Amino acid sequence: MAERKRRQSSRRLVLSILSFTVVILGWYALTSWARMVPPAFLPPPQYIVTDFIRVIGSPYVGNTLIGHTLMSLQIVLGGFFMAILIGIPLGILMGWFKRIEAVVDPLFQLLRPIPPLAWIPLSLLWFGIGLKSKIFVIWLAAFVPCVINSYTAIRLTDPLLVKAALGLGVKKQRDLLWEVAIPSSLPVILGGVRIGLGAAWMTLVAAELLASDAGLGYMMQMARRALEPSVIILCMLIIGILGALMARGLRALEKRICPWVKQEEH
Amino acid sequence: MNQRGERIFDVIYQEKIFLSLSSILGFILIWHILTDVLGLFPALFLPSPEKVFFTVYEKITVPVGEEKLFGHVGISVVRILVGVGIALALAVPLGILMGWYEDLDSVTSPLIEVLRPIPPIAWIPLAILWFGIGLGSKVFIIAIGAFFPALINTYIGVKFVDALLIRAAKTLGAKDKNILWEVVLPASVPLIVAGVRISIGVGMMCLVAAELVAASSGLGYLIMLGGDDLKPELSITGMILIGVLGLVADRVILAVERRVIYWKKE
Repeated sequence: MAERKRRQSSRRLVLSILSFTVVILGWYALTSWARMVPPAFLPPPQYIVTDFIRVIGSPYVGNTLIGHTLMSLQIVLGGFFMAILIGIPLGILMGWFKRIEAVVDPLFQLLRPIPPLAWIPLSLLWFGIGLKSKIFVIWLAAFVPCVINSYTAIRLTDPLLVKAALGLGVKKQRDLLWEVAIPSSLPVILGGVRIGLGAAWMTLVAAELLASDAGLGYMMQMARRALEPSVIILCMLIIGILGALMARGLRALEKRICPWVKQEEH
Repeated sequence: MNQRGERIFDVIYQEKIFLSLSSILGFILIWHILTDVLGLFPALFLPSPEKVFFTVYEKITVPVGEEKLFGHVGISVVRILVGVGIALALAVPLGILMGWYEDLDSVTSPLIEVLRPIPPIAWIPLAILWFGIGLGSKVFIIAIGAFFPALINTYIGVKFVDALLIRAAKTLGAKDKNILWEVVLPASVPLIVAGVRISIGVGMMCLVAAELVAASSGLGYLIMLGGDDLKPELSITGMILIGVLGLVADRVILAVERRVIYWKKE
């Protein structure tokens, strides 16, 4: 059994590497060797590497690659942390106090179906094209999942746990909230934080595409105007890698904070 | 006890409705007071609720750009349907095949894992370069956004079907083909439908982003135009319609879900 499993996983590895190589080689063959696709449409893969080396050292549209990346990260993390700071407490209050829920929930339901991206033009009008407008939109994007997850998790606290706590002599509502409801909701709350981070990252790219003077999205937009698809693809890869890294980091944090939860694979 | 319990429930229920209604009315009232009565916000910044209402009413008959209000709605709906349709037509079969054939899974997974973390919005510059600013680029972005959730859900649904069901079918003499069609696929339908629901949500977001960045029609265009022409009431009109569209889409999917997986009780 173990032998079979091992053979299967090594077969998997070989196939994975093979498919990867074939795609890169095919890309290279089409663009660089057969020249069937013009480089202004799809650049050969090696262009992306040379562009990476070019823009990491010398500035491209105002900043080096590292400068643009830091700019984007700063905005995303700023909006994201503000969303956590406001969203999670609000969600917990909504889940715990019926009256707060009754007042806040309808407003929330009213605003929720509007994608956070759609706020970008209004936000530009209100805050200008600087940091503030982007942070507002990103805050909004990450805020909604933070609230929803904390709210539902607290509301759906297992009644058995509450009963057990009451049976064991917990008297105060406050203890019930802090010692039972919040710890048991932590995994779902953190799930909301993770969704929020993904939404924030996506919204940042949109905001930078639309109106910005720095950042990875801005860099892509400028590269499009200059007809340099290799820089666009480079930025896309970096955006993808950073997004995956941040998600990975949050997962590690989740494991640290609630080690009792079995993590699912996807 | 019962009667008394019911009465208490009635009171709580009424109080909840009362609080919810007054919260929405209060929101509109405060908005009205801030803009019209106190004039704290100039109309270029935040228009009054009446103004938004009359803008919606007026634009039904008066065209904005090339289309009247419902013309823009129709264009957005067509884009979304085509984009999500293409994505589903590719993602669901591929997901089923990947979940069923291990080797295909090994070949395609690494490529998908590279592309998946890139937010669909980051494809916008490349899509514009490839397809121009017409229908093609929007459909491409929406299809990319909608593709991954449908694919992943289908894949997980097929791959992690209850092993007991498969063993039972084998014992009863089913062939591989029958197991796929009569056991695995029906069992994974709930996850597939859930994936479709997420796909439509992401597709909506991509639609807005694509129309914000480059379009001359559609709801995203209205939202952007409102910002550019300093007519925030136009932006808010577009945002409201996008929200309504999202809600309608979600309702439709839920109804379909109930029809398709009638055996699964809530």
